[in-house]
Amino acid sequence: MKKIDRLLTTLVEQHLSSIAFLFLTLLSIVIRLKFIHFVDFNDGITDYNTALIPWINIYKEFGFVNGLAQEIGDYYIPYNVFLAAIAQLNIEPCYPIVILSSIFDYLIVFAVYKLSGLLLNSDSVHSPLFSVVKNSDIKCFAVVFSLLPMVIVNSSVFKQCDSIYTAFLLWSLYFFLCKRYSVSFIFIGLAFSFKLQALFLLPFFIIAYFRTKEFSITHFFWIPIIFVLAGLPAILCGRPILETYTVYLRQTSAYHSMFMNFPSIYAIGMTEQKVFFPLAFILLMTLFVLAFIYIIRSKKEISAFTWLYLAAWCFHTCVEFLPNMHERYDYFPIILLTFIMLIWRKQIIIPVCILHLISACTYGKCLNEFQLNYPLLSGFYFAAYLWLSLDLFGLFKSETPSVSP
Amino acid sequence: MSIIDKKLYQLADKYWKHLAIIVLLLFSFLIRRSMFKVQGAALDWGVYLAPWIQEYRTLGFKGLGQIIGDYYIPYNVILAIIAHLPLPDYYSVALVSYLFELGMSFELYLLAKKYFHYSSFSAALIAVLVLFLPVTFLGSSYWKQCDSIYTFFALAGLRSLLSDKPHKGMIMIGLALSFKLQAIFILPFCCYLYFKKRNIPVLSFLWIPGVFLLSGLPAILFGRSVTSTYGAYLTQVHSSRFMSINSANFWSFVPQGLDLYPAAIILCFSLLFAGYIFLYQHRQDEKDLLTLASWTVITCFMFLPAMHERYDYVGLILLYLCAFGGHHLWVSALLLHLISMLTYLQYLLELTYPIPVMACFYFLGYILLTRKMLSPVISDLRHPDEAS
Repeated sequence: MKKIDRLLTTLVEQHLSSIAFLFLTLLSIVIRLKFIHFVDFNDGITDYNTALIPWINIYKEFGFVNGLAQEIGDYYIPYNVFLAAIAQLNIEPCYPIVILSSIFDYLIVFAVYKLSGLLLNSDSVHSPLFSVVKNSDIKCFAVVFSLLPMVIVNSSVFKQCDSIYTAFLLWSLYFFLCKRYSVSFIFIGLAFSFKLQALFLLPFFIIAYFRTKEFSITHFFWIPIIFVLAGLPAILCGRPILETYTVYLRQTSAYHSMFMNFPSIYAIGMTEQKVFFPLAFILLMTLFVLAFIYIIRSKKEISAFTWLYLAAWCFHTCVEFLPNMHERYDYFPIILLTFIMLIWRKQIIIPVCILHLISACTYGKCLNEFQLNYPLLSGFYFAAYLWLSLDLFGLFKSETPSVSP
Repeated sequence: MSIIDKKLYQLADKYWKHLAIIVLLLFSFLIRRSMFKVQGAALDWGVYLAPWIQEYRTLGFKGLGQIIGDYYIPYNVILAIIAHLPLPDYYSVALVSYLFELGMSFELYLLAKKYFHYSSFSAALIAVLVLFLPVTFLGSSYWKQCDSIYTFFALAGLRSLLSDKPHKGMIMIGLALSFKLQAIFILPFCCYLYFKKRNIPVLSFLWIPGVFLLSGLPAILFGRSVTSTYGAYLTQVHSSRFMSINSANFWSFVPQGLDLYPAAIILCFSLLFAGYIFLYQHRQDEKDLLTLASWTVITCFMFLPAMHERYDYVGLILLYLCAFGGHHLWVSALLLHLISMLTYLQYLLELTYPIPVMACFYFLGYILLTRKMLSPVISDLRHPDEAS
């Protein structure tokens, strides 16, 4: 073997993980740059053209301060501050929108990296993926999340901001596992300030409150505090206080459908709102009461992985049983379940793949306007949800020794 | 930890069980309340129940002397009473069904506690959760059916028979039959119990026709003819000649124009007989007997002709209970309940689902139930030395 060959092979052997990490990161950036200009492929109905561009045009017309003083769109203030800011720049809006969402994609990656390190180094659970835990391997594993189709399409093609609240929620869970509860709830507050769906994680924290008995109920107040603080820019620009802080109320009252391009349980045909709307909320609360009973009665110590699994399940249950759910609302639980599946629980590979595929179908409908068989998708989605639920709650009967976070 | 947290934890530790049951019962009512107002003109409510109640409102209790509807007399008495209540008719009908659902739930509590050896709280939880099965709230509140009434009496009857109270048991079965003809699906199991337990007097079976006859007296007292009173169920049986009516049973695979009534009845009884013969020599505790009762009802639903959706109701409720018995019946229970729910929705919401596909899954659930029920037989066949 020549000297150069020895040099190359040694370089690769010694720095394989770093090379892979750099390559995958570069790949994820290139993909995003390639997709920046794609919006709808074929008469699709994405929010970029129907919502974001009109809102940015209004901010261009009224300026930063006057724009924030009015109610433009239905996002809460922080994202409106961003839209108002980019409206004043003389560049195509798709660039800053995708860049911001992509930054949070990488914050998700970083959160996955930190969570992996925390869980794998605690010796609490053996991961089938990592026989020997090395930092460089974890970095490679984490960056794979920036290459998930759902993540790329959501931020770069769809130009949505689901990665923002998802990143905050993952960091919230990280600090929860580190027992830094104030920081954890601050991150929930931040997530809630970007998207209302962040509240879907509240049932998890309520269960954790009664089960761990390690944090105070006063920690929950961080959520409204951060929410109030996040609204200040609009108030300082002159928007009425009531109008500022009731954005989410108007958001929830704007849609009246049992499902909206999301194959929840109601997509099998339960579309009559007057009848099934109350049923949806009561059914959801019933499921959480049952989960509460089951977990409180279980004497098993709950491992860090199980806590994460429970968090994903709580969020996923809200998405499956609440009315008015859109496609993308299951973004956070799918990311978290993918993490759990890859790093710990290969038994759930089939349901997680089903969730990814169905998500892709719903994204495809928005981008390409092809027709979906909602009852069929709903059946598969519910089957996946049921599988995950039975798997999760079976863990509370498991004899495997586990430690609390 | 702050004082607020300490107080909250103390309250939770002390009262969470009671609170959980109360909250779940409240939720079960709220689910139904949201459906009470549904008065589908094309559903049984609009086509049958509402006009019948209106007739009782016009005629009063004297209406019992006439042929109104095709239910037997006890439910007609309830409809006549409802006609005179100060509540909306649709509300009263659904409320009556809900009250009997609570009774049914209580029977399940007693069965779970006594024969499945659950603690009071666990048994209460199992009992309350039955109210969240889609077939219950869709059936009673949306559809305004009265399957919960006969199911309550059927469960009470079974519990009494298993508790060595044969007379009370047969009276309850008689009452079940007086509300709905489908209660007859329990009778083959009662006959099996007679031979199995050997402490049921054969004359106690006379309570069934006895209660049936007594239940018809209100109508006769108001002037209805004896033949039309006691022949109410014959009218029901002769009203349709379809092999399967919106039910995912065995006959949904055959063209509906075929008349295979005699073959279907013989097939059903042959299967029941075969099942009983296989199990007769084996030791069965009360859990096994309840599973067999469930299998009996579902076999009747599966193979008898002219079965509607809902006719497997009592079988589904029993199967739900038996699934908690550690008999690995969960998959079967899940399949049968889900498919039943879809048949309900198909009718109630005028949807179109592929019945043959649903029937495949229902049949799979039935096979799993049969396999579990016959597991002692299968075990003996695999290990004949141990059996001998």
